[in-house]
Amino acid sequence: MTNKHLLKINNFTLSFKSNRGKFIALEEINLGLDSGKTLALVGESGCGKSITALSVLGLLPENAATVEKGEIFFRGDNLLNYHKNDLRKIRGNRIAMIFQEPMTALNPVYTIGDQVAEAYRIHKGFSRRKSLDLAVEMLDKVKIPDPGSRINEYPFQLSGGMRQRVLIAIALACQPDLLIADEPTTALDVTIQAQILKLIGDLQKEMGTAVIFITHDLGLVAEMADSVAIMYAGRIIEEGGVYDIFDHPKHPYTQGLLTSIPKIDTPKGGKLATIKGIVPSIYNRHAGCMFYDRCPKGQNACFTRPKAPEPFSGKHEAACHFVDV
Amino acid sequence: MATILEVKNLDQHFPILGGILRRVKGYVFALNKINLKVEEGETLGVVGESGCGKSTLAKAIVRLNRPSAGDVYLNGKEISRLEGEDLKVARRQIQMIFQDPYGSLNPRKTVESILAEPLKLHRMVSTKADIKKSVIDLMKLVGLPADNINRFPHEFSGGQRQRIGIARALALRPKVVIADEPVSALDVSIQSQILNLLNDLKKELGLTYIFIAHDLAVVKYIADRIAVMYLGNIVELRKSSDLFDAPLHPYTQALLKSIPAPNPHKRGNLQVLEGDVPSPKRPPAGCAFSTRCLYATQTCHKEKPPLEDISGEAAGKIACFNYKSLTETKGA
Repeated sequence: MTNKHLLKINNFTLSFKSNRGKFIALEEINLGLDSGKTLALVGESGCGKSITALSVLGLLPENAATVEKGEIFFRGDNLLNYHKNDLRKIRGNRIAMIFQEPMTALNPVYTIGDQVAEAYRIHKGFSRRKSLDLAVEMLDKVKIPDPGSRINEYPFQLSGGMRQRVLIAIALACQPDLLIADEPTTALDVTIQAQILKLIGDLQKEMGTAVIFITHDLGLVAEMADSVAIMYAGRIIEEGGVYDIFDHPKHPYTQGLLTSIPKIDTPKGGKLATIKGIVPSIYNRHAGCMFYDRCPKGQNACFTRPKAPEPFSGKHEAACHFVDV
Repeated sequence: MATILEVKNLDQHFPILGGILRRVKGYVFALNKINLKVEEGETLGVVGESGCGKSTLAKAIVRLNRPSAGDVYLNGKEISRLEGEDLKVARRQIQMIFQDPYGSLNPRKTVESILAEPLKLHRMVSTKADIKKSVIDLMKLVGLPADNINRFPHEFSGGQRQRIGIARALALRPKVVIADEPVSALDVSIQSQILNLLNDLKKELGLTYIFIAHDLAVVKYIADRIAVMYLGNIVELRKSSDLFDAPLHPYTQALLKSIPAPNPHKRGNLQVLEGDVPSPKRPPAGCAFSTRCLYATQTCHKEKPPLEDISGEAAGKIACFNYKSLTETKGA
């Protein structure tokens, strides 16, 4: 059953060592994604979105992170059993990533042509000449004007939007099966964001790539996602199709998020709904529902952990004892 | 309503120095002939993309930067060339809330000394007991527990730090508060808490806000009127509801259509505006937006459109040669 799906994360629990002891960063994460689809991973800062992505890529700091349990199946193989060298063959080739900060994700001392061509040289074994030709083609695909001469430019000579296009070109150079986009437009202006969203969408359609879209912006989720997983304090608390999540949010946290953002049609001056309190500290974990102390529905039952949603169940589920109350 | 703040023909041009002799090689044209009036008790929103001059405008008004030319009137009094004690007095009435709740508070000072500093500098209260009482009042005002008075900024969450920043801005009982992206560094669930607080404080203290943000939904929620900026120019200035219902300037239209709504039923409606914002070192000769505008004509590339009054129902100001013909063709 695991073979059917492009990506399936089972019961994945991850801990970090820090000078204040060990803490759990991700707890029993279950996620799944099929080819060509888009999954949005949504949550506030510190909830574990980016760590989930780094786990899939095998980019966790080895000295601090420990996988407590679970599996990450990619095309049927458990990535956690891979040797470092085998992972390196997959990373940037079958699974690629776009990072949030287009200013720092590129190497400042290499031309952008070299940085795109590197993917072809390493993963496909092409010659320098041929790789550069392919890089020009790829830069043309991400709509960088005049790519033939732009390949000789350095990152500092490009605007933020152009740099993000270069990152996308690098990520998609080998036509990966899975693209992880970690807040790809957060550092960009809205008119540039729209350009990048359209580009990712178009290329995804053309190449049939599956995309994990990590964001905290619910507008982007509504625009891009097929399915949505909401994260809170290292757990997935709600999962379902994008229309289900927006039309009938089940978890009190999701409901709170959706009502607390001012929308373009929110009446002016009226009180915004708020979620009281703040996200719990990572050192302050307990067995029950992590949202308990901020939740309007919190009751005694919440001291035991609610059942987590199952991926691929085809259902819209929330980890809450009072979903239908 | 009376005009509390007026900006007239404000320019801010930063020199670029170069060569061994540090000669002026050119200028960054950050603000070009900005004109605006803020009425007492209103919230004026300022929106635009990064680098359009929103923050420079805020800094020029509170005199963190000295404007290159133009005047700023506060309650009818010119303040852009004040010095020393006069400037200090003027600044009591106009205060600023900063974007970054992490960078804008001194990490080595307690909440008490952060909030007491403006009170001491401006000699608002004299005795130690009075200062402490004022600080506690300020903390209560912004919803911080008074027993946190001896804590340092790092012991607070982002939302609470922003409350400290707000309390500091209110310490001198200002009339006008300029909030420069006060919620953009905060998580979504915290943003709404701070926006509610700002609205409550405005009612309670009768404040006037200039609210700078790039998130249009936030600005629409909080502002009465909105100024849209592009490359150092105000291109449209209208009532918030009018601007969102029927944007007139092609840039405003494009801006509104490039934001995805948090509603999957409305997906696929994004309109993509091609190209990048030009460099403020070499702004276009004509209209600043002419390089990306779908409707630009010969005139737009050569001449700069003035910010003109629009009369009638859609009252406000706009800087565009063609907006009339555009609205007509759309209506037809």
